[in-house]
Formats: sequence, structure tokens, C-alpha cells
Amino acid sequence: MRVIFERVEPLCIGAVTFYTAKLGTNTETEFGSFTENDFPDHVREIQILYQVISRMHNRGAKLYYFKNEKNAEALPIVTSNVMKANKKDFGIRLYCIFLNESEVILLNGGIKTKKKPQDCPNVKDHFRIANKIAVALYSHLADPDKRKDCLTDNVLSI
Amino acid sequence: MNTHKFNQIVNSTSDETKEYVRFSMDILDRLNELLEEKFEGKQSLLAKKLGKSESEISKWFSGVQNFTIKTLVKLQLALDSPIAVICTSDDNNSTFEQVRPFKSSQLITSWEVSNEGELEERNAEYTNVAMRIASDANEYELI
Repeated sequence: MRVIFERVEPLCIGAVTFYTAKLGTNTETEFGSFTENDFPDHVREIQILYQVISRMHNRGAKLYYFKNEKNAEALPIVTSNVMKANKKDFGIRLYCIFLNESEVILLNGGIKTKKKPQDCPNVKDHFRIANKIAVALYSHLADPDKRKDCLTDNVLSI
Repeated sequence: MNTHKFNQIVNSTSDETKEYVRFSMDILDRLNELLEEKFEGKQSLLAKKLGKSESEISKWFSGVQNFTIKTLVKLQLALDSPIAVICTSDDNNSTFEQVRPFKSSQLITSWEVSNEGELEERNAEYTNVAMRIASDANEYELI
């Protein structure tokens, strides 16, 4: 599958460049698809998630802002309070790839309904794709000949 | 990419939620900074000092938490530094005297002002100072 990265221009106004990805022949980006979702039962959670992204403009991205998801990451960072508020699920997951303090790739996600993301019909594909991209990207970035402009000019195959 | 819905949600977020996120991220940054400074970034060393398991400690260092005052005090003592600086007139018996941003004389001045209008103005000035300190933990000078 082809993966094309593009900058999320409206969010690239501070210390962090946010990227997203287009998969295969999709016309919409992964993060674009995520933001189209309505989360009527998780209003405060989505607000917190977007605030955390917005706050990174000033302070940079830190790995501890993210939740570890195997080879990828996810936002929001903590769900303990949210879990109390939404007893029927595990809250929203937005899968991401943390590259460094100034580069983050925002992908897709949804409401996680099972403890393991692999078992949740809402997020399992997003979790799988995020991890596949992360593995391919880290391998790509490790090659010094390919490293330059990796995110802006290159198409990755996963 | 169209971020219309993203902006809509960001703009409709209450000040309370915005402040909650900002303050939580400030604490998170500060805790991780102190962990790096005092324990080489190793949660296991802090866990040992506090007599807690590493898994208990790790949740404090990654995420938006509702810390109790009791937990914050334990962390401050274990990390031997203040985590959140609060504007106060009581500077007696502070464990972390060396990093207090205010001298007592400056605080007394604000209470000596007899004109009510001036008092309000001076208190507002101190509030601004406190906010500047909160946004930059390394800077303690008065504006």
C-alpha cells in the first residue's frame, strides 16, 4: 500500500510540524477522516485531545504526552478520568507517530471499546496501520541516503 | 487538509478545560524535568525512594492526572523541588526556600496599601507575576 505524507498546514504554526498520511487511493487524509467524526458522548475528551495538540505549538511534542501503542503512539495521554465518565468504553484513541519533539504524524482513530485495540472493531485497523507505517518509516529513516526529505517528498510502501 | 471541525472544537472549548489542559501539561513537563534532573530520568529510582511500584509511578509521568495535594507534596519532597509555585503571604518554614519567587517584604507591601483601588491593582500585578512564573519554571524574577 502506498503512503503519502503531507503537512497539516493549519496546525504547523509553532514548534511542531504535524504531518498526516494518505493511504492507497484515498482522497482524504487519515487525520482528515478522524476530524470528520462526531463524538457526541465524548465531547470533553475530544476537546482535551485537540487542546493537547494545540498546546504543543508552544512547548514542542514530548514523548510523555503520548500513550505507547506498540511501535506507534496515541492521544489522548490519559483516560482514567474519562473512563470513569464513559464506563461503556475505553475512550477515544487518535493514533500517531512521534518522530521527535518537532515532528509528529497524526493518523486516524476512534472510540476504543475493547481493552486490546486489536479486538476493537472501531480502532483495530487504525492501530494496525499506524504500527505498519511506524515500522516502515523507522526503517526508512534509519537509512541515511533516504532520510532527507523523507516526509515531504517520498512515498512509503507498507 | 480541511481543519474546520478541528478549529470549531478548539474554539468551542471552555476556558476551564483549556486551563485544565495547560496546567496539567505544565505539571507533566515539570515532573519529567525534575525526574531527569534528580533521578537521571529513571522512574524506578523515584519509585524506590517513595516505596512504590514502578507502575504506580509511571502513570504520574505520562498524562493528564488529577493529582491530590497529598500526592503532589510527596512528589515535591521526593524530588526535593517545588512542582507548582503558589502565590502566598506565608513564607515561614518553607521546605524549598531557595526557589521562592517572592520576598516577604514585597508581599507585605501589597497589604500595606490603604487605598482599595491601589490594593486591587497591586494584587492584579502579583497575579501576572505568578502566571509568568507558572509558564516558565526556570524564571523566578519579578517583572
